[in-house]
Amino acid sequence: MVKQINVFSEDRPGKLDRITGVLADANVNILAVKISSDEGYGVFQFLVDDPEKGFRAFKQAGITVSLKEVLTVGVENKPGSLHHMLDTLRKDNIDIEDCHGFVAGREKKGIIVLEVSDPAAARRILEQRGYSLIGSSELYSL
Amino acid sequence: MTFWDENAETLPRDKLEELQVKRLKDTVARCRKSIFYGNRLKDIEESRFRKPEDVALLPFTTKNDLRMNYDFGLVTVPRDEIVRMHSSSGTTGKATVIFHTRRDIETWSDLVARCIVMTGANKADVFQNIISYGMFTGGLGLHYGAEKVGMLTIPSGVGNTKRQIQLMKDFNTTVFHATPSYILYVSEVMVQEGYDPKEFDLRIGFVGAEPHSEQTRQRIEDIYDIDAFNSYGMSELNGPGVAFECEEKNGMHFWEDQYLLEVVDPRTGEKLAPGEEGELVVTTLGREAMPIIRYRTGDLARIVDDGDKCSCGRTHVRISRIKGRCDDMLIVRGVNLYPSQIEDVLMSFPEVATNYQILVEREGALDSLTVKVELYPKMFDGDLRKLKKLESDITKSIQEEIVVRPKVEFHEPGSLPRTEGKAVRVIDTRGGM
Repeated sequence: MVKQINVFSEDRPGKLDRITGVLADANVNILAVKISSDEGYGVFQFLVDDPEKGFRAFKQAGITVSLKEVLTVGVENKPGSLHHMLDTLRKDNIDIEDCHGFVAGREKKGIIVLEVSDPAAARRILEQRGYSLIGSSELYSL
Repeated sequence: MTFWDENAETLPRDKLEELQVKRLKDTVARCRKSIFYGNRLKDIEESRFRKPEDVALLPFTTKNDLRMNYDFGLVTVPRDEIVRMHSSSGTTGKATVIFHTRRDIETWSDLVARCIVMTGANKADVFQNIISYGMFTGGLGLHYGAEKVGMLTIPSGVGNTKRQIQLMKDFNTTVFHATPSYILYVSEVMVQEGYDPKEFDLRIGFVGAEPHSEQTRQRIEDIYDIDAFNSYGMSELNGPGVAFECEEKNGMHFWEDQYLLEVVDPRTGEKLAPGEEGELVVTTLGREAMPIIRYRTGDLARIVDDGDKCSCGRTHVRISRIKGRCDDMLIVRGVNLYPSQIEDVLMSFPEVATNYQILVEREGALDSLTVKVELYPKMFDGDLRKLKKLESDITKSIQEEIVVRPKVEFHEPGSLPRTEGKAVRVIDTRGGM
Protein backbone atom coordinates (compact mmCIF):
# COMPACT_ATOMS: atom_id res chain seq x y z
CA MET A 1 0.00 0.00 0.00
CA VAL A 2 1.34 3.39 -0.95
CA LYS A 3 1.00 6.17 1.59
CA GLN A 4 1.33 9.88 1.22
CA ILE A 5 2.39 12.29 3.96
CA ASN A 6 0.16 15.32 4.51
CA VAL A 7 1.56 18.22 6.50
CA PHE A 8 -0.30 21.25 7.83
CA SER A 9 1.56 24.53 7.72
CA GLU A 10 0.95 28.16 8.35
CA ASP A 11 1.65 30.29 5.31
CA ARG A 12 4.69 32.17 6.50
CA PRO A 13 8.14 32.81 5.07
CA GLY A 14 10.53 29.95 5.82
CA LYS A 15 7.83 27.39 6.50
CA LEU A 16 8.39 25.19 3.45
CA ASP A 17 12.08 25.36 4.20
CA ARG A 18 11.55 24.06 7.71
CA ILE A 19 9.34 21.22 6.50
CA THR A 20 11.63 20.02 3.72
CA GLY A 21 14.47 20.31 6.23
CA VAL A 22 12.84 17.62 8.37
CA LEU A 23 12.80 15.18 5.45
CA ALA A 24 16.36 16.08 4.49
CA ASP A 25 17.63 15.48 8.03
CA ALA A 26 15.80 12.15 8.20
CA ASN A 27 17.38 11.17 4.87
CA VAL A 28 13.96 10.63 3.30
CA ASN A 29 13.78 11.15 -0.46
CA ILE A 30 10.92 13.12 -1.98
CA LEU A 31 9.45 11.58 -5.14
CA ALA A 32 6.71 14.16 -5.64
CA VAL A 33 5.25 17.10 -3.80
CA LYS A 34 2.03 19.04 -4.04
CA ILE A 35 1.23 22.25 -2.18
CA SER A 36 -2.33 23.46 -1.73
CA SER A 37 -2.78 26.68 0.12
CA ASP A 38 -5.48 28.95 1.24
CA GLU A 39 -5.38 32.33 2.91
CA GLY A 40 -3.11 31.87 5.90
CA TYR A 41 -2.36 28.17 5.78
CA GLY A 42 -1.77 25.25 3.51
CA VAL A 43 -1.31 21.53 3.18
CA PHE A 44 1.84 19.92 1.76
CA GLN A 45 1.55 16.44 0.31
CA PHE A 46 4.70 14.42 -0.03
CA LEU A 47 5.18 11.14 -1.81
CA VAL A 48 8.46 9.81 -0.43
CA ASP A 49 10.59 6.67 -0.48
CA ASP A 50 9.93 5.89 3.21
CA PRO A 51 6.60 7.34 4.37
CA GLU A 52 6.64 5.81 7.86
CA LYS A 53 10.06 7.23 8.57
CA GLY A 54 9.07 10.64 7.19
CA PHE A 55 5.87 10.58 9.24
CA ARG A 56 7.78 9.82 12.44
CA ALA A 57 10.30 12.57 11.72
CA PHE A 58 7.53 15.14 11.32
CA LYS A 59 5.83 14.00 14.51
CA GLN A 60 9.07 14.24 16.40
CA ALA A 61 9.57 17.75 15.09
CA GLY A 62 6.15 18.66 16.49
CA ILE A 63 4.65 19.23 13.06
CA THR A 64 0.98 18.45 12.39
CA VAL A 65 1.04 15.51 10.03
CA SER A 66 -1.08 12.64 8.81
CA LEU A 67 -0.50 9.59 6.66
CA LYS A 68 -3.03 8.63 4.03
CA GLU A 69 -3.36 5.79 1.56
CA VAL A 70 -3.15 6.79 -2.11
CA LEU A 71 -3.24 4.90 -5.38
CA THR A 72 -0.28 5.31 -7.70
CA VAL A 73 -1.09 4.47 -11.28
CA GLY A 74 1.40 4.16 -14.09
CA VAL A 75 0.28 5.76 -17.36
CA GLU A 76 1.94 6.24 -20.71
CA ASN A 77 3.79 9.52 -20.99
CA LYS A 78 1.75 10.89 -23.90
CA PRO A 79 -1.21 13.26 -24.53
CA GLY A 80 -4.58 12.05 -23.31
CA SER A 81 -3.46 9.31 -20.92
CA LEU A 82 -4.50 11.11 -17.71
CA HIS A 83 -7.79 12.01 -19.31
CA HIS A 84 -8.53 8.39 -20.26
CA MET A 85 -7.78 7.12 -16.80
CA LEU A 86 -9.96 9.74 -15.07
CA ASP A 87 -12.73 9.04 -17.55
CA THR A 88 -12.64 5.35 -16.65
CA LEU A 89 -13.05 6.16 -12.96
CA ARG A 90 -15.79 8.68 -13.58
CA LYS A 91 -17.85 6.11 -15.52
CA ASP A 92 -17.69 3.84 -12.49
CA ASN A 93 -18.68 6.60 -10.09
CA ILE A 94 -15.40 6.80 -8.21
CA ASP A 95 -14.96 10.21 -6.60
CA ILE A 96 -11.52 11.69 -6.88
CA GLU A 97 -10.58 13.71 -3.84
CA ASP A 98 -7.12 14.66 -4.85
CA CYS A 99 -4.81 14.09 -7.78
CA HIS A 100 -1.33 15.01 -8.86
CA GLY A 101 1.33 13.43 -11.03
CA PHE A 102 4.97 13.24 -11.91
CA VAL A 103 7.32 11.58 -14.34
CA ALA A 104 9.88 9.09 -13.10
CA GLY A 105 12.35 6.40 -14.03
CA ARG A 106 14.57 5.82 -17.02
CA GLU A 107 11.62 5.21 -19.30
CA LYS A 108 10.02 8.52 -18.16
CA LYS A 109 6.85 6.83 -17.07
CA GLY A 110 3.90 8.99 -16.00
CA ILE A 111 2.78 8.34 -12.44
CA ILE A 112 -0.56 9.60 -11.19
CA VAL A 113 -1.16 9.91 -7.44
CA LEU A 114 -4.83 9.54 -6.58
CA GLU A 115 -6.83 9.98 -3.41
CA VAL A 116 -10.25 8.47 -3.98
CA SER A 117 -13.42 7.87 -2.00
CA ASP A 118 -13.16 4.09 -2.26
CA PRO A 119 -9.59 2.91 -2.84
CA ALA A 120 -10.46 -0.80 -3.03
CA ALA A 121 -13.10 -0.31 -5.72
CA ALA A 122 -10.88 2.08 -7.69
CA ARG A 123 -8.03 -0.41 -7.57
CA ARG A 124 -10.26 -3.21 -8.90
CA ILE A 125 -11.65 -1.08 -11.72
CA LEU A 126 -8.29 0.22 -12.83
CA GLU A 127 -6.81 -3.27 -12.86
CA GLN A 128 -9.76 -4.59 -14.86
CA ARG A 129 -9.19 -1.84 -17.42
CA GLY A 130 -5.55 -2.83 -17.78
CA TYR A 131 -3.90 -0.06 -15.78
CA SER A 132 -0.83 -0.98 -13.82
CA LEU A 133 -0.95 -0.01 -10.17
CA ILE A 134 2.47 0.64 -8.80
CA GLY A 135 3.15 -0.94 -5.43
CA SER A 136 5.24 0.61 -2.74
CA SER A 137 8.42 -1.39 -3.34
CA GLU A 138 8.38 -0.66 -7.06
CA LEU A 139 7.62 3.01 -6.48
CA TYR A 140 10.27 3.57 -3.84
CA SER A 141 12.95 2.04 -6.03
CA LEU A 142 12.21 4.36 -8.93
CA MET B 1 -20.59 13.29 52.38
CA THR B 2 -17.56 14.41 54.33
CA PHE B 3 -16.74 17.81 55.69
CA TRP B 4 -13.62 19.49 56.99
CA ASP B 5 -15.56 21.69 59.39
CA GLU B 6 -19.13 20.41 59.32
CA ASN B 7 -20.39 22.85 61.88
CA ALA B 8 -19.21 25.93 59.99
CA GLU B 9 -20.03 24.58 56.55
CA THR B 10 -23.64 23.65 57.36
CA LEU B 11 -24.47 26.48 59.74
CA PRO B 12 -28.18 27.39 59.36
CA ARG B 13 -28.69 30.62 57.39
CA ASP B 14 -30.00 32.64 60.34
CA LYS B 15 -27.02 31.63 62.47
CA LEU B 16 -24.66 32.34 59.59
CA GLU B 17 -26.05 35.84 59.12
CA GLU B 18 -25.89 36.51 62.83
CA LEU B 19 -22.25 35.50 62.75
CA GLN B 20 -21.60 37.75 59.74
CA VAL B 21 -23.01 40.78 61.52
CA LYS B 22 -20.94 40.10 64.61
CA ARG B 23 -17.78 39.63 62.58
CA LEU B 24 -18.53 42.67 60.44
CA LYS B 25 -18.66 44.80 63.55
CA ASP B 26 -15.38 43.30 64.78
CA THR B 27 -13.81 43.90 61.39
CA VAL B 28 -14.86 47.54 61.28
CA ALA B 29 -13.53 48.05 64.81
CA ARG B 30 -10.26 46.43 63.83
CA CYS B 31 -9.97 48.44 60.61
CA ARG B 32 -9.94 51.68 62.54
CA LYS B 33 -6.43 50.78 63.67
CA SER B 34 -5.05 51.13 60.13
CA ILE B 35 -3.90 54.42 58.65
CA PHE B 36 -6.15 54.05 55.62
CA TYR B 37 -9.40 53.05 57.31
CA GLY B 38 -8.85 55.00 60.52
CA ASN B 39 -9.62 58.16 58.68
CA ARG B 40 -12.26 56.72 56.38
CA LEU B 41 -14.44 55.09 59.00
CA LYS B 42 -14.36 57.76 61.68
CA ASP B 43 -18.02 58.73 61.21
CA ILE B 44 -19.40 55.20 61.18
CA GLU B 45 -20.78 53.57 64.29
CA GLU B 46 -20.77 49.81 64.67
CA SER B 47 -24.23 49.85 66.22
CA ARG B 48 -25.68 50.63 62.78
CA PHE B 49 -24.90 47.12 61.52
CA ARG B 50 -27.93 44.98 62.24
CA LYS B 51 -28.05 42.73 59.16
CA PRO B 52 -25.39 41.67 56.63
CA GLU B 53 -26.79 44.05 53.97
CA ASP B 54 -25.87 46.96 56.21
CA VAL B 55 -22.33 46.53 54.97
CA ALA B 56 -23.48 48.85 52.17
CA LEU B 57 -23.20 51.72 54.67
CA LEU B 58 -19.44 51.41 54.28
CA PRO B 59 -17.39 52.83 51.42
CA PHE B 60 -15.85 50.58 48.75
CA THR B 61 -12.17 49.72 48.76
CA THR B 62 -10.54 49.55 45.32
CA LYS B 63 -7.33 48.11 43.98
CA ASN B 64 -6.15 51.66 43.59
CA ASP B 65 -6.68 52.24 47.33
CA LEU B 66 -4.38 49.29 47.98
CA ARG B 67 -1.77 50.69 45.61
CA MET B 68 -1.96 54.19 47.04
CA ASN B 69 -1.51 52.79 50.54
CA TYR B 70 1.44 50.61 49.66
CA ASP B 71 2.99 49.22 51.77
CA PHE B 72 1.57 49.06 55.33
CA GLY B 73 -1.35 51.49 54.99
CA LEU B 74 -4.08 48.91 55.64
CA VAL B 75 -2.29 46.92 58.32
CA THR B 76 -3.95 46.79 61.76
CA VAL B 77 -1.37 44.85 63.81
CA PRO B 78 2.17 45.59 65.03
CA ARG B 79 4.80 44.60 62.46
CA ASP B 80 6.11 41.76 64.57
CA GLU B 81 2.71 40.03 64.43
CA ILE B 82 3.03 39.67 60.66
CA VAL B 83 4.38 36.34 59.47
CA ARG B 84 3.76 36.40 55.72
CA MET B 85 3.58 38.76 52.79
CA HIS B 86 2.04 38.04 49.40
CA SER B 87 1.83 40.21 46.36
CA SER B 88 -0.46 40.31 43.36
CA SER B 89 1.10 39.79 39.97
CA GLY B 90 1.20 43.52 39.33
CA THR B 91 0.75 42.99 35.61
CA THR B 92 -1.57 45.97 35.42
CA GLY B 93 0.37 48.57 37.37
CA LYS B 94 2.08 48.85 40.71
CA ALA B 95 1.95 45.68 42.79
CA THR B 96 -0.33 45.35 45.77
CA VAL B 97 0.85 43.61 48.91
CA ILE B 98 -1.14 41.63 51.46
CA PHE B 99 0.02 40.69 54.96
CA HIS B 100 -0.97 37.84 57.24
CA THR B 101 -0.61 37.04 60.92
CA ARG B 102 -0.03 33.50 62.09
CA ARG B 103 -3.75 33.15 62.77
CA ASP B 104 -4.58 34.50 59.32
CA ILE B 105 -2.51 31.72 57.78
CA GLU B 106 -4.32 29.18 60.00
CA THR B 107 -7.74 30.49 58.99
CA TRP B 108 -6.79 30.58 55.32
CA SER B 109 -5.39 27.03 55.40
CA ASP B 110 -8.59 25.84 57.05
CA LEU B 111 -10.68 27.38 54.31
CA VAL B 112 -8.55 25.68 51.66
CA ALA B 113 -8.84 22.39 53.57
CA ARG B 114 -12.64 22.77 53.45
CA CYS B 115 -12.42 23.21 49.68
CA ILE B 116 -10.19 20.17 49.20
CA VAL B 117 -12.35 17.86 51.31
CA MET B 118 -15.48 19.22 49.62
CA THR B 119 -14.35 17.73 46.28
CA GLY B 120 -13.94 14.26 47.74
CA ALA B 121 -10.15 14.44 48.05
CA ASN B 122 -8.67 13.22 51.33
CA LYS B 123 -5.46 12.49 53.23
CA ALA B 124 -4.85 9.31 51.25
CA ASP B 125 -4.37 11.35 48.06
CA VAL B 126 -1.09 12.37 46.49
CA PHE B 127 -1.34 16.03 45.61
CA GLN B 128 0.80 17.70 42.95
CA ASN B 129 0.63 21.47 43.19
CA ILE B 130 1.42 22.47 39.61
CA ILE B 131 1.20 26.19 40.09
CA SER B 132 3.51 29.12 40.78
CA TYR B 133 4.84 29.37 44.28
CA GLY B 134 6.50 32.52 45.53
CA MET B 135 4.51 35.66 46.07
CA PHE B 136 1.62 34.38 43.98
CA THR B 137 -0.90 32.95 46.44
CA GLY B 138 -1.99 29.92 44.41
CA GLY B 139 1.06 27.87 45.33
CA LEU B 140 1.40 28.31 49.07
CA GLY B 141 -2.36 28.66 49.56
CA LEU B 142 -3.19 25.19 48.27
CA HIS B 143 0.03 23.81 49.70
CA TYR B 144 -0.86 24.72 53.29
CA GLY B 145 -4.44 23.52 52.86
CA ALA B 146 -3.34 20.20 51.39
CA GLU B 147 -0.86 19.57 54.20
CA LYS B 148 -3.54 20.42 56.70
CA VAL B 149 -5.77 17.78 55.13
CA GLY B 150 -2.81 15.43 55.36
CA MET B 151 -2.20 14.76 51.68
CA LEU B 152 1.23 13.85 50.43
CA THR B 153 1.97 17.25 48.89
CA ILE B 154 4.40 17.65 46.00
CA PRO B 155 5.29 21.34 45.55
CA SER B 156 6.23 20.87 41.91
CA GLY B 157 5.44 24.44 40.92
CA VAL B 158 4.94 25.26 37.29
CA GLY B 159 7.10 24.50 34.25
CA ASN B 160 9.48 21.72 33.32
CA THR B 161 6.54 19.84 31.89
CA LYS B 162 8.31 16.55 31.26
CA ARG B 163 9.37 16.43 34.90
CA GLN B 164 5.79 17.13 35.98
CA ILE B 165 4.69 14.10 34.00
CA GLN B 166 7.50 11.99 35.46
CA LEU B 167 6.43 13.00 38.99
CA MET B 168 2.84 12.03 38.26
CA LYS B 169 4.07 8.67 37.05
CA ASP B 170 6.62 7.97 39.78
CA PHE B 171 4.56 9.09 42.76
CA ASN B 172 1.10 8.09 41.51
CA THR B 173 -0.31 11.57 41.77
CA THR B 174 -4.07 11.43 42.26
CA VAL B 175 -4.94 15.12 42.65
CA PHE B 176 -3.47 18.18 40.97
CA HIS B 177 -3.90 21.94 41.12
CA ALA B 178 -3.15 23.93 37.96
CA THR B 179 -4.36 26.67 35.66
CA PRO B 180 -6.60 25.37 32.88
CA SER B 181 -4.23 26.51 30.14
CA TYR B 182 -1.20 24.83 31.67
CA ILE B 183 -2.85 21.52 32.51
CA LEU B 184 -4.16 21.29 28.94
CA TYR B 185 -0.64 21.95 27.71
CA VAL B 186 0.63 19.15 29.98
CA SER B 187 -1.78 16.76 28.25
CA GLU B 188 -0.36 17.74 24.85
CA VAL B 189 3.14 16.99 26.05
CA MET B 190 1.97 13.65 27.48
CA VAL B 191 0.68 12.67 24.05
CA GLN B 192 3.92 13.80 22.38
CA GLU B 193 5.85 11.68 24.85
CA GLY B 194 3.74 8.66 24.01
CA TYR B 195 1.51 8.63 27.11
CA ASP B 196 -2.25 8.51 27.26
CA PRO B 197 -3.32 11.19 29.79
CA LYS B 198 -5.92 8.70 31.04
CA GLU B 199 -3.30 6.13 32.05
CA PHE B 200 -2.18 8.10 35.12
CA ASP B 201 -3.71 7.69 38.58
CA LEU B 202 -5.20 11.19 38.49
CA ARG B 203 -8.77 11.40 39.78
CA ILE B 204 -9.35 15.01 40.82
CA GLY B 205 -8.14 18.34 39.46
CA PHE B 206 -8.39 21.77 41.08
CA VAL B 207 -8.52 24.28 38.29
CA GLY B 208 -8.22 27.97 38.93
CA ALA B 209 -6.35 31.28 38.68
CA GLU B 210 -7.85 31.95 35.25
CA PRO B 211 -11.51 32.35 34.39
CA HIS B 212 -12.46 29.41 32.19
CA SER B 213 -15.59 28.04 30.61
CA GLU B 214 -17.66 24.97 31.36
CA GLN B 215 -16.51 23.55 28.02
CA THR B 216 -12.90 23.88 29.11
CA ARG B 217 -13.65 22.02 32.33
CA GLN B 218 -15.33 19.23 30.40
CA ARG B 219 -12.38 19.04 28.08
CA ILE B 220 -9.98 18.68 30.99
CA GLU B 221 -12.22 16.03 32.52
CA ASP B 222 -12.45 14.09 29.26
CA ILE B 223 -8.76 14.27 28.44
CA TYR B 224 -7.65 13.02 31.85
CA ASP B 225 -10.77 11.09 32.83
CA ILE B 226 -11.00 12.98 36.13
CA ASP B 227 -13.37 15.25 38.02
CA ALA B 228 -12.25 18.87 37.73
CA PHE B 229 -13.34 21.48 40.25
CA ASN B 230 -13.41 25.21 39.78
CA SER B 231 -11.68 27.42 42.32
CA TYR B 232 -12.07 31.11 43.08
CA GLY B 233 -9.88 33.44 45.01
CA MET B 234 -7.53 36.38 44.73
CA SER B 235 -4.53 37.53 46.70
CA GLU B 236 -6.41 40.52 48.16
CA LEU B 237 -8.80 38.00 49.77
CA ASN B 238 -5.98 35.59 50.82
CA GLY B 239 -5.86 33.69 47.55
CA PRO B 240 -7.47 30.33 46.77
CA GLY B 241 -10.05 29.21 49.30
CA VAL B 242 -12.61 31.98 48.89
CA ALA B 243 -15.05 29.84 46.92
CA PHE B 244 -14.86 26.34 45.49
CA GLU B 245 -17.10 23.76 43.90
CA CYS B 246 -18.51 20.82 45.80
CA GLU B 247 -19.15 17.45 44.21
CA GLU B 248 -22.40 18.79 42.71
CA LYS B 249 -20.34 21.11 40.45
CA ASN B 250 -23.19 23.57 40.33
CA GLY B 251 -21.56 26.81 41.42
CA MET B 252 -18.83 27.52 43.95
CA HIS B 253 -19.66 27.71 47.65
CA PHE B 254 -18.54 31.09 48.92
CA TRP B 255 -17.36 30.83 52.53
CA GLU B 256 -19.68 33.37 54.04
CA ASP B 257 -18.51 32.97 57.61
CA GLN B 258 -15.19 34.49 56.48
CA TYR B 259 -16.29 36.67 53.54
CA LEU B 260 -19.31 38.90 53.18
CA LEU B 261 -20.37 38.86 49.54
CA GLU B 262 -22.28 41.48 47.57
CA VAL B 263 -23.02 41.55 43.84
CA VAL B 264 -23.22 45.08 42.46
CA ASP B 265 -23.69 46.85 39.16
CA PRO B 266 -20.11 47.58 38.07
CA ARG B 267 -21.04 51.03 36.78
CA THR B 268 -23.23 52.38 39.57
CA GLY B 269 -22.09 50.26 42.54
CA GLU B 270 -25.76 49.56 43.33
CA LYS B 271 -26.73 46.22 44.79
CA LEU B 272 -28.25 43.82 42.26
CA ALA B 273 -31.11 41.38 42.77
CA PRO B 274 -30.16 37.76 43.59
CA GLY B 275 -29.26 35.90 40.42
CA GLU B 276 -28.29 39.00 38.45
CA GLU B 277 -24.83 39.14 37.05
CA GLY B 278 -22.54 41.81 38.38
CA GLU B 279 -19.25 42.62 40.08
CA LEU B 280 -18.36 40.69 43.21
CA VAL B 281 -17.68 42.94 46.20
CA VAL B 282 -16.21 41.23 49.23
CA THR B 283 -15.54 42.13 52.86
CA THR B 284 -13.18 39.94 54.86
CA LEU B 285 -14.74 38.86 58.15
CA GLY B 286 -11.92 37.16 59.99
CA ARG B 287 -8.69 38.66 58.83
CA GLU B 288 -6.39 40.17 61.44
CA ALA B 289 -3.36 41.71 59.75
CA MET B 290 -5.09 43.34 56.83
CA PRO B 291 -8.88 43.30 56.81
CA ILE B 292 -10.48 44.75 53.69
CA ILE B 293 -13.93 46.27 53.48
CA ARG B 294 -16.14 46.04 50.40
CA TYR B 295 -13.34 45.21 48.01
CA ARG B 296 -14.20 45.76 44.34
CA THR B 297 -12.86 42.50 42.90
CA GLY B 298 -13.52 43.42 39.27
CA ASP B 299 -14.75 39.84 38.76
CA LEU B 300 -18.11 39.30 37.13
CA ALA B 301 -20.40 36.52 38.28
CA ARG B 302 -23.84 35.89 39.71
CA ILE B 303 -25.24 34.09 42.69
CA VAL B 304 -26.62 30.67 41.78
CA ASP B 305 -30.20 31.03 42.85
CA ASP B 306 -32.04 27.84 42.10
CA GLY B 307 -34.27 28.17 45.15
CA ASP B 308 -32.83 25.07 46.77
CA LYS B 309 -30.19 24.41 49.31
CA CYS B 310 -27.27 22.58 47.73
CA SER B 311 -27.72 18.84 48.08
CA CYS B 312 -24.23 18.57 49.56
CA GLY B 313 -25.71 20.08 52.73
CA ARG B 314 -23.60 23.23 52.80
CA THR B 315 -25.55 26.38 53.51
CA HIS B 316 -23.05 28.85 52.06
CA VAL B 317 -24.19 30.67 48.95
CA ARG B 318 -22.88 29.55 45.54
CA ILE B 319 -21.50 31.78 42.80
CA SER B 320 -21.40 31.03 39.09
CA ARG B 321 -18.22 30.71 37.08
CA ILE B 322 -16.41 33.99 36.73
CA LYS B 323 -17.53 35.31 33.37
CA GLY B 324 -14.54 37.59 33.14
CA ARG B 325 -13.25 40.73 34.71
CA CYS B 326 -15.05 44.03 34.36
CA ASP B 327 -11.94 45.23 32.57
CA ASP B 328 -11.84 42.14 30.28
CA MET B 329 -14.93 43.24 28.47
CA LEU B 330 -14.21 44.11 24.88
CA ILE B 331 -16.28 46.47 22.82
CA VAL B 332 -15.87 45.48 19.20
CA ARG B 333 -17.87 47.36 16.57
CA GLY B 334 -20.10 48.61 19.35
CA VAL B 335 -20.87 45.13 20.68
CA ASN B 336 -19.97 44.14 24.25
CA LEU B 337 -18.33 40.75 24.50
CA TYR B 338 -16.21 38.66 26.81
CA PRO B 339 -13.31 36.44 25.78
CA SER B 340 -14.95 33.60 27.73
CA GLN B 341 -17.79 33.54 25.21
CA ILE B 342 -15.32 32.89 22.40
CA GLU B 343 -13.51 30.27 24.46
CA ASP B 344 -16.78 28.47 25.05
CA VAL B 345 -17.36 28.13 21.32
CA LEU B 346 -13.80 27.04 20.56
CA MET B 347 -13.80 24.32 23.19
CA SER B 348 -16.91 22.77 21.65
CA PHE B 349 -14.86 21.91 18.52
CA PRO B 350 -12.71 18.81 19.10
CA GLU B 351 -10.53 19.70 16.09
CA VAL B 352 -9.22 22.74 17.88
CA ALA B 353 -6.42 22.53 20.43
CA THR B 354 -6.66 24.22 23.77
CA ASN B 355 -4.52 27.27 23.19
CA TYR B 356 -6.00 30.29 21.46
CA GLN B 357 -5.57 34.02 21.12
CA ILE B 358 -7.94 36.88 20.41
CA LEU B 359 -6.63 39.85 18.49
CA VAL B 360 -8.56 43.09 18.22
CA GLU B 361 -7.28 45.69 15.76
CA ARG B 362 -8.52 48.74 14.00
CA GLU B 363 -8.50 48.70 10.22
CA GLY B 364 -9.41 52.21 9.09
CA ALA B 365 -12.58 53.07 10.93
CA LEU B 366 -13.58 49.48 11.61
CA ASP B 367 -12.61 47.13 14.40
CA SER B 368 -11.47 43.71 13.34
CA LEU B 369 -11.58 40.62 15.49
CA THR B 370 -9.21 37.76 14.75
CA VAL B 371 -9.41 34.48 16.62
CA LYS B 372 -6.22 32.46 16.33
CA VAL B 373 -6.57 28.80 17.12
CA GLU B 374 -4.21 25.87 17.04
CA LEU B 375 -5.23 22.71 15.25
CA TYR B 376 -5.39 19.56 17.31
CA PRO B 377 -2.81 17.30 15.61
CA LYS B 378 -4.86 14.12 15.98
CA MET B 379 -7.76 15.61 14.07
CA PHE B 380 -5.74 16.60 10.99
CA ASP B 381 -6.25 14.23 8.09
CA GLY B 382 -4.56 16.23 5.38
CA ASP B 383 -7.71 17.48 3.69
CA LEU B 384 -7.67 21.19 2.94
CA ARG B 385 -11.39 21.27 2.22
CA LYS B 386 -12.20 19.92 5.67
CA LEU B 387 -10.08 22.69 7.16
CA LYS B 388 -12.00 25.26 5.11
CA LYS B 389 -15.27 23.85 6.33
CA LEU B 390 -14.07 23.82 9.93
CA GLU B 391 -12.99 27.43 9.57
CA SER B 392 -16.39 28.50 8.35
CA ASP B 393 -18.19 26.43 11.01
CA ILE B 394 -16.18 28.04 13.81
CA THR B 395 -16.66 31.50 12.31
CA LYS B 396 -20.41 30.95 12.18
CA SER B 397 -20.67 29.59 15.71
CA ILE B 398 -18.69 32.50 17.16
CA GLN B 399 -20.80 34.97 15.26
CA GLU B 400 -23.95 33.36 16.62
CA GLU B 401 -22.57 33.75 20.14
CA ILE B 402 -21.18 37.28 20.02
CA VAL B 403 -22.83 38.85 16.93
CA VAL B 404 -19.49 40.10 15.60
CA ARG B 405 -18.09 38.07 12.72
CA PRO B 406 -14.51 37.09 13.49
CA LYS B 407 -11.72 36.06 11.19
CA VAL B 408 -10.62 32.59 12.25
CA GLU B 409 -6.97 31.70 11.69
CA PHE B 410 -5.48 28.23 12.00
CA HIS B 411 -2.04 27.87 13.51
CA GLU B 412 0.29 24.99 14.10
CA PRO B 413 0.09 23.30 17.50
CA GLY B 414 2.42 24.96 19.97
CA SER B 415 2.90 28.05 17.83
CA LEU B 416 0.72 30.48 19.77
CA PRO B 417 2.48 31.98 22.77
CA ARG B 418 1.66 30.31 26.04
CA THR B 419 2.46 31.24 29.55
CA GLU B 420 2.90 29.00 32.51
CA GLY B 421 1.06 31.30 34.88
CA LYS B 422 -1.95 33.28 33.80
CA ALA B 423 -2.48 33.10 30.06
CA VAL B 424 -2.62 36.28 28.00
CA ARG B 425 -5.46 35.53 25.63
CA VAL B 426 -6.44 38.94 24.36
CA ILE B 427 -4.34 41.44 22.46
CA ASP B 428 -6.05 44.73 21.77
CA THR B 429 -3.97 47.05 19.60
CA ARG B 430 -6.60 49.74 19.14
CA GLY B 431 -5.27 52.01 21.86
CA GLY B 432 -7.37 54.98 22.96
CA MET B 433 -10.46 56.14 21.13
